[in-house]
Amino acid sequence: MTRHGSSLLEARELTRYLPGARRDAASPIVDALSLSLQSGDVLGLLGLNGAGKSTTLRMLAGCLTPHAGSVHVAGHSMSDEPAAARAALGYLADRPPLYDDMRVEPYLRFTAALRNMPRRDINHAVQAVIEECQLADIARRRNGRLSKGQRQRVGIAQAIIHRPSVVLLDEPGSGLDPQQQDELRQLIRRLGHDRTVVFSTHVLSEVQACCTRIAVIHGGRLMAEHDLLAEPSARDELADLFHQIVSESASSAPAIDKNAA
Amino acid sequence: MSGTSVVRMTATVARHEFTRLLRSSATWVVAALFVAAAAWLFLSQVEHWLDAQASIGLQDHPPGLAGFLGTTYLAPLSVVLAVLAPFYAMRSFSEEYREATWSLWQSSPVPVTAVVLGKLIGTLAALAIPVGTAIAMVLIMMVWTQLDLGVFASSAAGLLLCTMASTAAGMYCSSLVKQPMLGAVLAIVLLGVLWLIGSTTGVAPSLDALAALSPGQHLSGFLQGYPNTGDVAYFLLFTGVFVVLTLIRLDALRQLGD
Repeated sequence: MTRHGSSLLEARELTRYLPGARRDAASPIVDALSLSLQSGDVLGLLGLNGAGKSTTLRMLAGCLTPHAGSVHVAGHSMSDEPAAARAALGYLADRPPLYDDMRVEPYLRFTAALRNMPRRDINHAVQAVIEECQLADIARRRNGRLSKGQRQRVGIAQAIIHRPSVVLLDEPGSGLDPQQQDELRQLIRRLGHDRTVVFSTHVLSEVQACCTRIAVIHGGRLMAEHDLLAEPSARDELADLFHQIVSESASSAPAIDKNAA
Repeated sequence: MSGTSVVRMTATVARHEFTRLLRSSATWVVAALFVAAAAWLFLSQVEHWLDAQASIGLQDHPPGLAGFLGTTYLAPLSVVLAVLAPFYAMRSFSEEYREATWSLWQSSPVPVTAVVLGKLIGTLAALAIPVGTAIAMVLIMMVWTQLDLGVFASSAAGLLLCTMASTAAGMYCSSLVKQPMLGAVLAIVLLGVLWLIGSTTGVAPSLDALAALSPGQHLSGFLQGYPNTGDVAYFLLFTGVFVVLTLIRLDALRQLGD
């Protein structure tokens, strides 16, 4: 179910094995995964713990080199034009990359400079992202003194400060209270208006609340992909679908392993 | 990415590393201990110089104060700096891994060369504070006596080159592990071995070539006021080798994962 043409994010046959594993004998942790996303797509990468979601996102972000396959961000190949590809994306890892001894505003300035933003644009970008992520009341606080939810918001702010075309968020809702999760969903929906957003989660309600597309991943394989705009009924049936796919995959997993071996 | 952008990125990384080190209380504690040790050594050597005036005056070619302090004050300091530099460099990468901030660098368009060079420059800038203070102590003597500025400049240059080389080695060791202290210990052991092999000169002819790898062998010319291009090349090559090794290590991280 891949779309071609003007894709902002395109992954083709992404494959990754465990470090040191013999590739002819081991099952890959991400197995020939392909995605194609355009502007306005908000993709929820849904899967259980250990399904390969974080590894997939790290490969999409350029933090990890795939053993096979390719990634293109805004038309730039991650392997051939890594700087251009990375400049077009923002990434929040499962742990927000915050320097605890820095205050929020200088930290955001620094991350903007890292994205090669012109100096004259940095002030405006920092103020815009502080407003967008509702950080005004903590802008002068040290990162080390922030709550988990505040850290996630600062983490998202650093990922979008340079207005990237593609935003990748690894389990952004983990550890947040219900109110914070609601705020996060609103933020993701806003981001999706003019960008491509991919976020991973194992929480169905997060996907149901803010995604236009869903990809279910299990055992490193893309088990299903749904376009919720084209198939609105999938939103309500998602819970059943997810449990069905996971249970089916669990029962067929040994067979997959055997085939791979 | 254009050359100007790379230079700007390198400067951004260097400024970040420098201010990060200055925000750490450990940096100031280590710097204070070093300056205290340097001050004690400096005063004791100046006292020694004054006491030995009568015997120095009898020599055919008596050393000047700059030459004397070069061998009795700056030479021991260079060994102390071989320990100090890894303490400054230990956070460069291992703390980034441990605090999960490395993903910020990996997903940003900053070339890895700019990251490594920026961190090296930033760390050296922070080290310049204690090292500069130690060197400035010698300059204070200009109030009371004449210094051979040529010898002094040569000694200071040697000390700075030696510090740069030790910092590069410390950065490489920091890139290998997640625990900053372990990185510092690794670097100190590595530099300690390199300094020790310098003492094998004259033990056996076959070991003389090995002794040429020691920083101490190449620093002595600087401290005596007659450095040669080979010594300069040694320290630049030493630094370059560890910068390249760090680049290879960081590139491998993308291949290997954590």
